[in-house]
Amino acid sequence: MKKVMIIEDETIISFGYHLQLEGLGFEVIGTARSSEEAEALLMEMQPDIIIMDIYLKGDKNGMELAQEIHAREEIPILFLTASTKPEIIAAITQLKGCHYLSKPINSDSLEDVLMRFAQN
Amino acid sequence: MTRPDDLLCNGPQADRLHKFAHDLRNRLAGLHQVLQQLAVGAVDPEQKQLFEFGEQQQFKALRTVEQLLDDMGVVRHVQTLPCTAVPLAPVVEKAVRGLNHRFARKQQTLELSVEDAIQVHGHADQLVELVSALLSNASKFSPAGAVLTVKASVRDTTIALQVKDPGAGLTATDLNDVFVRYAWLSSRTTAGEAQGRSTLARARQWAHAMGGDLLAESAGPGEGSTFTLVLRYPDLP
Repeated sequence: MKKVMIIEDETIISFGYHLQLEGLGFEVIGTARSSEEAEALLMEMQPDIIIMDIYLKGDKNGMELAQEIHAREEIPILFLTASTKPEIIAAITQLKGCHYLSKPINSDSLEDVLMRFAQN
Repeated sequence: MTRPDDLLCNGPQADRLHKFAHDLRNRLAGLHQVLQQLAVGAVDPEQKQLFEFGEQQQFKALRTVEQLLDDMGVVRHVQTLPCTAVPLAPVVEKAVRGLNHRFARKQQTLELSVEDAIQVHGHADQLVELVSALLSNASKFSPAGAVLTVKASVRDTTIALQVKDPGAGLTATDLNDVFVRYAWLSSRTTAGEAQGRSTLARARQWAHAMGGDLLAESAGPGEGSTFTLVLRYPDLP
């Protein structure tokens, strides 16, 4: 079973992802609400996939955190974002091993991307 | 409709509208999560109808936001992608592999006809996304046991990749709106799969960003659909 970490500051949205991921057969090993919480969790846990928002509470945004994570290891990262700013979308497409889905997220789109991640 | 120039946004105004749209979409996404939780295990037809009504209202609100951004000329897609010569067959194979769970679940089969020699002008990762979106759509709107076909053909100045399904099909109105973000179409998935309602709009934007296009055809409800991704030949070295 693939292990997933969720980084999202909105509790209800994070809870919804958690339920969707479990329903799809993934194991949620941790949830963080800020970049600092995420960094602390990543010291203890080894997720196979990370899903996170672009705008996070804390010192770093999602892109900065992704670059920091990828400097250490190549964990696939799925950004779930409500932003449609061209510069943000372009920046995600330039980050290797990253993908994005627009909110609202449905479990079928989530499954398709995560299955592709899991295969790679 | 032509927009008067004085209605179009400048940089700071566009940024403000992007933030407004982002925050509103986030609130609507939260409501969507709540709706989905309330719908879990709903067997009563009235409950299901209520969920669909709530979902429809949510998508209408999302559509209203998009209309405002359109009217104000706020750009929200990548205009051009860095492109290279990309072999098409591996792109299609990767997309198919990533969706095998979906085809297996509905016992659907694929007929693939993409010659190894075909190369296109594109962005490899976004091409996989785009083809995956078309295949996922074909699977969701086709019945169990359906045969889906994927065929690449070389034309005079372009390369066309057709994804054809024998599924739900599209009405004339649906065809008009199929690439409109969050438009509420009348066609329904065949096994209760979720409808993103912005996936095909985004897929077409990616096609445009690669200098190509995405077209839809259908003979009507119940007659299946064909989506054609039109791509350029790679630039000469």
